[in-house]
Amino acid sequence: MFDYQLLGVFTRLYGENAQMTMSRALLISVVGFLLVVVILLLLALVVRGFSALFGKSEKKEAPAVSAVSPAPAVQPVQTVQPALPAPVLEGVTDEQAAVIMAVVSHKTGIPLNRLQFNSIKLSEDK
Amino acid sequence: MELITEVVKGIWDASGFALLQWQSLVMIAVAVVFFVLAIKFKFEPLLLVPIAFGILLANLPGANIMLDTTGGQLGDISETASVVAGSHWYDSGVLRILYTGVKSSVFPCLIFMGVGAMTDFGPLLSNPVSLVLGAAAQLGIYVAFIIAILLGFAPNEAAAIAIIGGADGPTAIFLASKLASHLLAPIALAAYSYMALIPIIQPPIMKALTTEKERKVKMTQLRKVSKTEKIIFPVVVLVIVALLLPDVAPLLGMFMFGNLLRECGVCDRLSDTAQNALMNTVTIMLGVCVGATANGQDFLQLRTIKIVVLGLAAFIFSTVGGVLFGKLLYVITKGKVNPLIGAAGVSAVPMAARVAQNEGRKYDPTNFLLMHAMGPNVAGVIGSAVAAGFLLVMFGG
Repeated sequence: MFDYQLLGVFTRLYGENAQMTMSRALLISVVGFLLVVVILLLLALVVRGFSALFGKSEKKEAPAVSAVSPAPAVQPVQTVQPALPAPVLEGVTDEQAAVIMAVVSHKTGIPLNRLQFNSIKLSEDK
Repeated sequence: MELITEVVKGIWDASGFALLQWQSLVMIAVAVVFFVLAIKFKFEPLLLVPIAFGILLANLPGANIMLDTTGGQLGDISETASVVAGSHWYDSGVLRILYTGVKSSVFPCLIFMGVGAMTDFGPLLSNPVSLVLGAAAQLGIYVAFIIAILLGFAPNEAAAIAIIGGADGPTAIFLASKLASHLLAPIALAAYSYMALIPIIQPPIMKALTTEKERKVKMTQLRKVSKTEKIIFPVVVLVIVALLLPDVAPLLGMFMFGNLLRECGVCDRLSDTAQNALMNTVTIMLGVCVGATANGQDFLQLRTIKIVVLGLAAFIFSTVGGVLFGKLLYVITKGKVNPLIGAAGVSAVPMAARVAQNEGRKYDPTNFLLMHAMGPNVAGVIGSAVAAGFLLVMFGG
């Protein structure tokens, strides 16, 4: 009923009435997967390139910025981290707590492994 | 008396009850199940409620909500499609007219614009290796393609089904509408259903493929990404990918356009509209239209069950690909990468990243993988778009 006329590279390669054999399917899959990996690897290299470029220009601008508003000194990340107790959650889900903690860390510039949350509670307007 | 009998008979004959078939009843039951999943269990309710309502509407006999009076120009490719003499396109069913937005790929592209406006590429830019994790997690697409061929699907059908493994609803709809539009309903339903079930599907695989030591790895703080990088990234990615795979330019172009609206800092109103009002409007129309394609007579076939099984296989193998590549990075970086974030490479933003975060916290409550997992998660969106582009090049017109 839905007899599609195959087009595209497949038809150009194997002809209009070509059958999809197992070996062809395997070959197409391997090529397709490798293509995705190669393109995303290429993008990763491009990102590395322009992050190195803009990272340098950021470093040059950094002293001027710090003169206006001194940022908290960033401590080197500890390789061995002490296990911190999990915060007490009241009226918030794990996901909401994770977002709140990530926002606090981002806004304060303090890495999450140096922050300790004792509790996160929902306060409602009455 | 005869008049009353004739009137009652006429009303009965014109009613949906007289036309009701068992397929319609089954599909109405399916719609009810989806309502329960969405409303009671909160499984992707924003999508499942419109989809379920579309199924319900399309399976009410006599309502002709998906009637195509143009003989197939509005996308009805079933045997029942016919030209109604003297009819115009606007005499077709209301959802059939809206369905042109799906058939023309307008809705998936607009959804992608909204998704782009909601996406923060910061975690990906600060850790570019995330991109490769996003690529590895497309493995399921190609495994599902091979299995689909083995099950007897035509190559274009197999490609459309396999993209379910990209865990990306708009991409699945985009590719299915181009390669095998008669399979759009089961593909879209499988894609969205499995995306909703990611918190159930992924954890056992993540646990099986990783050691406790690997799951406890804490990743270092991500570097701060400059605004310039965030502005340049969508433009560069679009140019590179669209030049390599032009077929995917509409989808990826709208995605990156939405992201540029977000990041440029001078289009806040447009970004807000793309993220909220437009996104919600298109989601309603897309959901109802996709659901409405699930007509009982076409939908209740053996191939639907095969598609559902293939979709699950695609999700499983995509997760496996991501986690295994995460393990490889764990070895290469000497334990600095937590392999759990590889599972987030399957797209399904942000659900898959949340799963990685939750799994990591199960073994160490102080471990926060969410931002690290967001990198592969958004990379997965690009990866699945690239995979769709490849399949379109192979089998598209």
